[in-house]
Amino acid sequence: MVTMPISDFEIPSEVSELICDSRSTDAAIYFYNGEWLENHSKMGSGIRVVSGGPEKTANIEIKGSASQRVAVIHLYGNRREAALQKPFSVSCVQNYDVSSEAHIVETHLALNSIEFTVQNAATFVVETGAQVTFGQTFWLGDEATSKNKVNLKLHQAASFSGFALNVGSSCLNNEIETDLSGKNSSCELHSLILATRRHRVNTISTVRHSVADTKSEQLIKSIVNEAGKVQFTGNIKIAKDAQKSNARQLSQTLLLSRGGEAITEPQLDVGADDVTATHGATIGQLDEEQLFYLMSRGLARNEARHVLALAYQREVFDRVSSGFVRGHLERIHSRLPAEMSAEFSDGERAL
Amino acid sequence: MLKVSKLNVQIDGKDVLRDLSFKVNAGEVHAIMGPNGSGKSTLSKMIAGYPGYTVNSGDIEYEINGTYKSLLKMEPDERAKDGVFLAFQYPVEVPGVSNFAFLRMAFNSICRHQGAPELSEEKFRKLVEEKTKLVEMAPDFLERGVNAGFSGGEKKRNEILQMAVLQPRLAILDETDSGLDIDALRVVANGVNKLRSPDRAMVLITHYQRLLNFIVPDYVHVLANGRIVRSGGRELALELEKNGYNAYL
Amino acid sequence: MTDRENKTSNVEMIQPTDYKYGFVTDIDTDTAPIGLDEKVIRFISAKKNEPEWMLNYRLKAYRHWLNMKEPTWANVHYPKIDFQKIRYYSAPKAAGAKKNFEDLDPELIRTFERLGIPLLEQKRISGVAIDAVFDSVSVGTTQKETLAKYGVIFCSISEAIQEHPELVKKYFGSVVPYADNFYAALNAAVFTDGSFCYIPKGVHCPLDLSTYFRINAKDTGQFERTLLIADEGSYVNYLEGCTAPMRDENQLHAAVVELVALERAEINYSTVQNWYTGDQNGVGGVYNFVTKRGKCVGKKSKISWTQVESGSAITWKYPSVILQGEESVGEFYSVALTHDYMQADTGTKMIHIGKNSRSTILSKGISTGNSVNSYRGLVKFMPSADGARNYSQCDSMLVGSSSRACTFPSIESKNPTAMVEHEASTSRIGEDQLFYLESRGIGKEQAVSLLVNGFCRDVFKHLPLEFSVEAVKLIEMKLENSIG
Repeated sequence: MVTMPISDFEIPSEVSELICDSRSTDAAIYFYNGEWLENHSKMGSGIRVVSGGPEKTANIEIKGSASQRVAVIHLYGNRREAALQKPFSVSCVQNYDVSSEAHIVETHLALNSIEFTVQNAATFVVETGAQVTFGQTFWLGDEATSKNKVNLKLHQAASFSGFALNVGSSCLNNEIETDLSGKNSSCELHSLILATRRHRVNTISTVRHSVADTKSEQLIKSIVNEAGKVQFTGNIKIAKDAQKSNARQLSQTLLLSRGGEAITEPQLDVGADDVTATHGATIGQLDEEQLFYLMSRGLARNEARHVLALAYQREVFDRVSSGFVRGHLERIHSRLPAEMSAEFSDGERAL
Repeated sequence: MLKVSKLNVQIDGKDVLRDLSFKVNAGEVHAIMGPNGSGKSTLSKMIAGYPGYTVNSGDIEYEINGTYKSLLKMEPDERAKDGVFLAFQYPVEVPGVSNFAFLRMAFNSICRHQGAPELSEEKFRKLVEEKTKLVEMAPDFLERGVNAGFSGGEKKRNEILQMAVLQPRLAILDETDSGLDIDALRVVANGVNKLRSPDRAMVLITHYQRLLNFIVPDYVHVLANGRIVRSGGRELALELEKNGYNAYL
Repeated sequence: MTDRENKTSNVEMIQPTDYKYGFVTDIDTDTAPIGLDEKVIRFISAKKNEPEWMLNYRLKAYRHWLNMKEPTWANVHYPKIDFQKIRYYSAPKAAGAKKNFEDLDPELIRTFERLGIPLLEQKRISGVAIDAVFDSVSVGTTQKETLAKYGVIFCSISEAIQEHPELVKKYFGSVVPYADNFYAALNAAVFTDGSFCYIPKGVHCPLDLSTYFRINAKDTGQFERTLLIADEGSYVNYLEGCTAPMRDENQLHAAVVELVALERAEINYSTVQNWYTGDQNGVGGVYNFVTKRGKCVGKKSKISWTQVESGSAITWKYPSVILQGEESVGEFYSVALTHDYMQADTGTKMIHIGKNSRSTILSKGISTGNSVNSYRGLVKFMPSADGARNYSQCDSMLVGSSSRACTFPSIESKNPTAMVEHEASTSRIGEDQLFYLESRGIGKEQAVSLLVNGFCRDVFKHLPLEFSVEAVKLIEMKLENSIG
């Protein structure tokens, strides 16, 4: 599956610039097509990589006991001539067990546009009183397919701030299961989903409030352009004993072209009465009033749309309080080709 | 500079402006006063290019470089680039776009069109900070989102600040005084007065006479039922203050 | 009628007061044998003197039904229904399509009077024309002469099949084809009666039209069919009411309602539903599986569904609107109250096809006791629905800690100029508000009732006056003896 000896692989410089600021990173772990690049990785204490086995899966364990900034970088590519390339699949497993404070980014980047499949699993156990900020990025190119499962279990007074930057590909399936199993635990799960051309991004998020005094907040923002299709199912389940829980979910989709499609299914299943549970969903286009205001000040229509689309996306980044995670996500976002994130064909006057 | 000729406008099939005509020359300040529902807001939005209005007949012509162009055929941004500015009655909020970034984009866009050199970020910042003094706003608001969380008075002052930075040739101020207390009104009026110049034309749309004590107009027009029914000097405003609009309905 | 004591052993349970409609009427009836096969269908068709084309339609539907499977996706659980153990026809012997009310079995007349529906001339409710349906058969329709003056046709569907076949052939099954779903196919095969209304062009119907359904016989399923056509520019308010006696066995109610609104027509359809819900232990009660759908065929047409649901052991209904015409409007206003062991899975579907179509959904659910109250909705914008708009608000109120509220909306958009805004929230009765009312001398029960009614007000205001009064009383009655 990997076409050259791992030891010969060099991380392209534009990628390492993109990825991190090595001064502020305690650990940077690199993988190429699922194989651990031991020589390129900088490990911190409490981090272990187990790799190999017949399926060549890589299993990372991070047991944080002191505050850590960790970057887990998965690169995918194939340097052989195109004619010899065959689709391949990779399996990645990350187990994060955090007992103090951790800032973790997990980034999946394809170096060229290749046909391949990634099965990714990120499992978190956030121990009592621990705090995790997690930024996960998928940018795999038009031909890739991926299935991403994120499992979160939060113990007492634990908190988890998760941010996803999902750049569309042939198909990206996300499944996020959150169990707020400890009293006073809380999570925020925010994502930015960008789908254009013929991308498909499906997300199913289930947040379980199993005990009392738990809190969850979700903001999912999508931009769908050309023939992209985005589906979001957000299930919030509040158990009978989970009194005084607070759950909020807001899903917003900008549907910008004919041929695009958005399906949103916010779901609430509430069994306790002394709770606050709300959800909201909107699907629409850029605000006409705002568009007119910007144009009346001299911005051409396309420019104005560009500005508003970026402002729309920024709201997700504004919620990241960890400088390490935010910086990483914003650097990647700024490299996205304009048509992914901001420039839109001006075909529709109505828009 | 601005020539509105027999303009007939409908919204959702209802006549809003009927055969409306008036003219404004450079250096002049005109006030258009009228009761609610007379069509004042429609007129100002039409000049700026707000979508959704049906023009049945008539024209709005704008003179620039010695020739008249029909504004009706121009996009809102094209009008802005030619120096048309509308200070909105209810400025919309655009959170996520900073006031500074927005102003800079607008300024550069207009500069490019007019062939003037764009300013570096540093120079532009100095320019803007200078202008904020005109409307008594602290420079830190520049980093906040456009009108995001602003009070009514702050929004109106922001409109005047934009006007001061973008230096339009034709400024329409739509009910700039609405919702302002005396102090805010004084600040806004001051800002506007400092922007009066022989090369600039201003149209003040207002319901109440009060604003005109601070910004003294050269001409006053009464707009009722979609047309201009009377024109005069500033004494007309005082007369309306005393007698109301009933005579014109 | 049995009196039941008010039990207050579990302070968190809401106790419904006596279901005062729980009596049984003793009357001579014509019945089909229990079970379902082609013979039963021919029996029903023959009893009604139906023309050949109607019998053929039924048989086609029945044969299609045999190949269908019962749906299981609703968030409700019930023991499997044995369709061969149900009786599909039971009509009072004395009833017939053209009798005068005075000729009816006095027991029937007394029954409807007890339900608050006087059928005889002198006691007529003014402003409302009523079609009374007892078990599977329409026993008569009031005010037919008044309506005839305006050209309004309001009669039983059996009568319409005979007297107005062109209209029936044109529109029957046009909104809910028999292949649509399992219960629609069953209904198309065995439907017995229901109301038929036709409002001619430009007519603002002078009376509110109402059908009152009463299930009486044991083991009988009720499969009524309603078809309402509003021709161009017409307007009608339609009210549906229903009750059933208390029995230990479950009764099946699988109805189909089709509404057709042509250009600029408006139909307002209101239901205050109070079927028997089963006793406090969940025994008995009506299974209410209904397909209700309206089609806004013409430009600027409007269909509005307003419902207050407080009965039936299991409810499975989604009044829907297909917004085909440009600028057509669909509305759904609902209050669903569940208590004891009731399970409700209800909601609406708004399908936007026409440009600038608009829909509004306002759903309020109140769950008490051990009940489960689910809202399931679908708002769909087809690629052709330029400029379409939807606003939805679904609020749930939980009373006591053993009940459950679920919301499953689904929003699908294939059009970039369409906009949808949806909000949902779950809450309980505000402690602060309760305290405030109590501190002004209002007793706890009444305070709870006031707050719940306040919660529902935005829906109630869309009901015609008599219905909204009835709805408020119904909710109050159901909440009596609650301790919040």
